[in-house]
Amino acid sequence: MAKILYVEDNEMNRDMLSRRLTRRGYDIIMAFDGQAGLDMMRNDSPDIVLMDMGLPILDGWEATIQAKADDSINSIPIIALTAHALESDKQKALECGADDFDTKPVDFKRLLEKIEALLN
Amino acid sequence: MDKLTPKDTSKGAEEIVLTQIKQDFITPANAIFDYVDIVEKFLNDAELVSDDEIAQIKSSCTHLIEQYEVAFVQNTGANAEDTKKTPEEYSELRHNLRTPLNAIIGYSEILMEDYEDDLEESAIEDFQQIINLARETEKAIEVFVDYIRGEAIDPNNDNVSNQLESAESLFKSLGDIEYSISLDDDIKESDILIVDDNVTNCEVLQRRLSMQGLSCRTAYDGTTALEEVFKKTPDLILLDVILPDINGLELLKTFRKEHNAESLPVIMVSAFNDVDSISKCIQLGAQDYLPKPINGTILLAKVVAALERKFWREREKELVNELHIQATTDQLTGIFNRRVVFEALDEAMDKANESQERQFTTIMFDIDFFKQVNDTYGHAGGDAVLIEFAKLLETEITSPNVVGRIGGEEFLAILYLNQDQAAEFCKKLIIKINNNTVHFDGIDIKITSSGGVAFSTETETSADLTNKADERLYEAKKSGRNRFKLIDTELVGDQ
Repeated sequence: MAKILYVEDNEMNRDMLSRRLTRRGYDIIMAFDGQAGLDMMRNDSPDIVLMDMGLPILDGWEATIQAKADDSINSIPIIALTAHALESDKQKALECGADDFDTKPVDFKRLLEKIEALLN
Repeated sequence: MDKLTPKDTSKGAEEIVLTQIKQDFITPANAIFDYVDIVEKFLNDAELVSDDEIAQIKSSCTHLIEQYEVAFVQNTGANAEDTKKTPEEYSELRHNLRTPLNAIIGYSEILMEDYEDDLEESAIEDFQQIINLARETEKAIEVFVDYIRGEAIDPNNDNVSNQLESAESLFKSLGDIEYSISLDDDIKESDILIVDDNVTNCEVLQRRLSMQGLSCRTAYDGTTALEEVFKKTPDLILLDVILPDINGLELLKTFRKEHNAESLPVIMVSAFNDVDSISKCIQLGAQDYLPKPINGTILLAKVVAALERKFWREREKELVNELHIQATTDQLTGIFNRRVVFEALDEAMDKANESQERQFTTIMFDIDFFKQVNDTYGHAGGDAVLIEFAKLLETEITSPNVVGRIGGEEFLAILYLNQDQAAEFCKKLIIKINNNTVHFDGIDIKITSSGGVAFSTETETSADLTNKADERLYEAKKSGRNRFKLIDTELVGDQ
């Protein structure tokens, strides 16, 4: 089963989304900040990354840029999660190299579709 | 239509729009709590375990509202200029506000999935409602952040721009309306106590009210307020909720032990303008509520309304009291009138018929040769005699016994005495009447009285009883006046 790395600093969101994804049969690993996220991408080889954009230490934008610049992990798809519904945010996420983009609050069904699309 | 931006609008209009923006957030956010309570009850009733999801939704919602409140204060009004943010900071604010919504929606969906088969359709709808409300809250957050960023609000998409428009036109049409009130003299004389620990606030209130001719006392703490009220009960108290020693609510409770809301109206003054604290104040007996900062017009309107209400209530009571007196007393003599005495007689008769122990005596008496008194001394002399005689009767016959004037020079008494006691009483009364002198216009007038005495044991109806008393009065007159006739005896006065 696919392994998802979920990078999120908010504890409640981490708990909530990880529970929902686990129920759907995914294997979930989690990181709390951008730097830890990058490290786990390198060490735990997840199949896909859900990256919250507002993160401490290294924010999601920067972490995504660095991930995409690293040949060893740049093939792992990243879905950027932002609270910004603006078109400019979407643009920015894609410019950073994110493979897809979704907004918070998460529409769970839509997110699942995006995960599945990127995994296949 | 051009796009409106916050800076184009006047200060007052901006406040209205901000209030609306906040309302559009707070209303759905608070409604989430209500629905969470409902679904929690559903789950408990159905004995479904909800782990900690419900608690998580609640705490996310609390967190959301707290964050919003902080952001609102920091980014609006006078604070807005100091907290101009970079675009990134606005993004972060938006992000932070939306994060709790994610949890609210997510946990609700988890619960819906878990209990899809166990929950009634209405419970599922309630969960759906939570999610809808969270989405509504989300939109309100967008509007709020756009607004404080000073972004144009799209007139085609948003009703906020309509609010701006109508708020603008409202303020224009308000122009320079002058507000003045004319106060009744009664109300001008009222005594207002202002209780506020902030000396400046006290002074501002005092000046505003004294400009209208109202006089105020002030107290800067609870203890002084209690002393002031003890010294003299004011007509109205303006009471700050936060005080250094005793808080406003406690103070209000203390006032209410001694004075009810009608005799001592209290208007609470506070910067807490949430519905909960306002309704608490009213539950504790406050008449009204003034939010800080105080608006002069609203202050005056509420103060005047409270004072007017108090004075009209008091006047109403006085009038009712006066009417009662008029309806029950004899105008000339001030003792009970015919109606009261006969009603009392009917009542006494009913009770006597019910119980052996409630027997009584009735005396009907009149003043002997009263026509001669009138002829000799004129009607003024006659009146003086009637007044003096009534006064003597009132002195001798006290509650629960009743005496009243039933017409001309005729009087009727109801005495809770048995036959022997009644005879004893009549003997003494005759002596008092004989010893009494009416002073009129330099002349001493002596009068005598005749009476007929009947007992409740003799009959069963009050009409019958008065007939008997009347017959005996007639006999007393016939056999020489200045005497009281009982069943089988006659008590004669000094000849």
